[in-house]
Amino acid sequence: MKIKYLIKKSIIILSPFFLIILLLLSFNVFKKDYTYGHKSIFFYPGSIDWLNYYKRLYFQKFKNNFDSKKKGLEQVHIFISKKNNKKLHEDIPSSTDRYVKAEIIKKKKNKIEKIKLKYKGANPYNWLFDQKEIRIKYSKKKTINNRQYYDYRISQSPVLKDYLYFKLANKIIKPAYDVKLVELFINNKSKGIHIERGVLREDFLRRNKLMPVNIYRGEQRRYDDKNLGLETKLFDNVGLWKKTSYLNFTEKNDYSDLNFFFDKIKKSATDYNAFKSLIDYENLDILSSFGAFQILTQNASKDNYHNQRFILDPWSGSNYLFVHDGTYNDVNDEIKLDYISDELMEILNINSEYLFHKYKKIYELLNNDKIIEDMIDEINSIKDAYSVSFKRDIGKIQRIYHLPNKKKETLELPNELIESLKIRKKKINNILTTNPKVTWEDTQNGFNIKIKDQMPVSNIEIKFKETKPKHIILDQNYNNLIDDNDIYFYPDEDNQFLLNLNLFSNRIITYNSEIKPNNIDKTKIINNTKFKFILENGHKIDKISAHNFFSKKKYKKKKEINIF
Amino acid sequence: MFKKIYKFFLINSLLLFFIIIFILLINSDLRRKIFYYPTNLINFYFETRINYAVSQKDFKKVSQYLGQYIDISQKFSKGKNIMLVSIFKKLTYASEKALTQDDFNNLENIYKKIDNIDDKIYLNNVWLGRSLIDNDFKLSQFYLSKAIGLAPASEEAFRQILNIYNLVKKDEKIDDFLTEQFCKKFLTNMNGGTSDLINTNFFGGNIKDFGIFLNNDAQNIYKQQINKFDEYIEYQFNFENQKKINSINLIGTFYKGSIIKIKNILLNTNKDLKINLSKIIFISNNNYILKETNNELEILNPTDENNVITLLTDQYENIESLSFSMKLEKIPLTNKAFCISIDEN
Repeated sequence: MKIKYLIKKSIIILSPFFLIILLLLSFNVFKKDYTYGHKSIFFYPGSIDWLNYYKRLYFQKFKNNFDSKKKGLEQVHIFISKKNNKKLHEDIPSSTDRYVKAEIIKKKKNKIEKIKLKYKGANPYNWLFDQKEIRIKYSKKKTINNRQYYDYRISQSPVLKDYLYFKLANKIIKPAYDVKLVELFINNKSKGIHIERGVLREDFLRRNKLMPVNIYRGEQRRYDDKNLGLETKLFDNVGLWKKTSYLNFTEKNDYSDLNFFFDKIKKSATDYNAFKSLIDYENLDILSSFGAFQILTQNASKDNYHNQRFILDPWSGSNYLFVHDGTYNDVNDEIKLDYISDELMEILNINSEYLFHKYKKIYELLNNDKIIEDMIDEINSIKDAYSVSFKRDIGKIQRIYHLPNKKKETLELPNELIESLKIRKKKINNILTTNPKVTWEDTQNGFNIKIKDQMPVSNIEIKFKETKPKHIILDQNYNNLIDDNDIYFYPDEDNQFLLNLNLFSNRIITYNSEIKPNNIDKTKIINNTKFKFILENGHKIDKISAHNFFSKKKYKKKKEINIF
Repeated sequence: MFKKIYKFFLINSLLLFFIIIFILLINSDLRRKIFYYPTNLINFYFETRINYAVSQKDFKKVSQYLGQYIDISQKFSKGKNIMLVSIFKKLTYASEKALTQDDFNNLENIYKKIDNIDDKIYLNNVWLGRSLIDNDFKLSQFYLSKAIGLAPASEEAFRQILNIYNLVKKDEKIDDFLTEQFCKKFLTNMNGGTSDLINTNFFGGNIKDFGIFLNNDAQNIYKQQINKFDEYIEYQFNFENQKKINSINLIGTFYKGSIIKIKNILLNTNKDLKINLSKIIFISNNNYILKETNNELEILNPTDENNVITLLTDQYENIESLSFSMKLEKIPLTNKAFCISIDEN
């Protein structure tokens, strides 16, 4: 009886406290959720379980109190007053984009420096969770090596994967962000692992030994970047782009160089001269390096609607593609060689000249430059420090709630990435060195070679049964007639026919989702492609063999049943 | 007795309130859905009021409601926020019904408000230019020039240049940039068009891209691009395997106010397999036939909406490729006298 009375009494006394806590908690969660999912334009995120997020976050913070002294990754300390911190949050999202005063201590300098700080980007993920993406700015007088801006980037996928991605970009593509993994502390509290990198502005170009030229930024997928009521395909309208750095002698709103660049891209699909001018100077190397980077990271990096950055340098004629965002995709089930995610890459990846250079580039990176081994060394060098900081990292908690279906992050990630890199090298090399699927057949006035493979058929050797012709002619326009544009091949010094050619299968791209919904919007199909050769009358072919361009191994081509 | 009932209701209401709060706290999916309701409710309220005011041609009221709507949205979140799309949809509806200078003058303050929030909205720049024609001729031209910069291939800004001419006649000189755009560039501008506020047109809204699909296979579309006006260009489509064909579907947004001419439809690049255009059946959702011969088809395209043009043919088998010549001509917005008059000035 007494116990019952006590329980009843305690419920009556305690329930108002519980209800007040419930009200306060609900108010905060509702406010947060409303700001996250119901304010930003062109952003319709999935729901977030804030309650569980906070539960895990505070537990992590509690654990961090006992584990804060052990040094992990290089530490960067930022100090911001309560008043200035409040300013950043007073009218989200617009307030996040206004610089406030703060101070910073970096390990290298070990002294307090005055900076200005703001949150970065229009994505609420960047500033609504506890770990935030931060941009800092030094005053112009205090810049060292022309470096005024720094970004402390947070990640939506495991931070080590992003780091590996940017490291690969830095090795393969010039210019690219020079990145460093750091542990950021704000007012002496760990805010987890961030990627420190520069900002693509004029000072960035100077540091990378480029003159100040036009830098263009293309973002039309989400948030307030997207223009209301305009078609959003970036390659169709220069009005959708923003200039973030200016060539001194051009006007701020002069986009003629970008327009000219787009014109070249579009004409390249049907006009070989336009394609030639697209790959002129060192542009073929720039474009094939980018393609090789896509293969190594298994990430398209950009598409027709976002993540586009171009640096157009009129002095050298080079058009640089800049890697701004993305992550290393560690899945090796199916290695993709050609990415057709945007207009430029689509046009390039149906051109055999580009494909050939790209495949050569990836082969060199893997086997001559030993890029995979370099990356494995890099991961090994930071592994221990990363493990210490990872235990304190609050970023890993918000990533679970932002993208709930992703794999759980563990301390095994560095080893998993090393394993993934090793498998990737093996698989790519395997694709490059496997003999392509090629056949040949006799025709009325010569022979056809048919190829249905990603890899080209190279250095074709033709053996004749009895007599040899004076020459072999590649019938370029398939009209069975010898025209001016057809290519002649003559026997070598040993009277053998070795056709120094790299023949590629046609790539056919089909669009899948314009009318009916489809998860894959485009598909690339390797077409069984026929190359027609004309011979003088009466010569019979005995056998045809070819070489794999990369392994240099010779292989025999299968003969098909004659078509006549 | 009353006290008991009162107490019962009070406790139960409080309990219900806290249960709802608790459910919303723990059920994030439900919370996300419920939180859409307040803005949807506001959108619905203003939609009905604005629609009624537009139907009464009362643009003062329309302006008043839109002003309130914008102010409320800015209280939710300053700047370009989630409600801007709905507001702009209503503004578009009202502006499309506005005919007189007075109508546009009534809406001028709304265009200015929107411009303060986002100055890169093509149609808002056009209408702001339109509304300023009578009181600030120079500023009006500034907004029209800006609009042309945003979407050079769209016609709305160009139509307002004619309205400026109508108002100022030969008393004042129209900005050289605008006249050059109108008289020299309009018929050749290919890049940059507008799109629906919510749906994206075919190929990301790109008006230069078009494609074909065979029969009913709408998930395998072969794309090409129009790079020149007023010239027949041959387009070839190669298929990944041999196909059986009984219809060819042409899809694209093309250009509003254009004539599409098609000739020489060849199968397998074989002149013997040329499709006789007088034997095909033409079906489309937006287009009209202007002229037809055995070898050529002239189609009027009055819209920049998604177009699907179906050509029903005889049955052909073992088809590996298809090619045809196509020419696109933009139809002028006015007669030649306008540009002659500008030149004389």
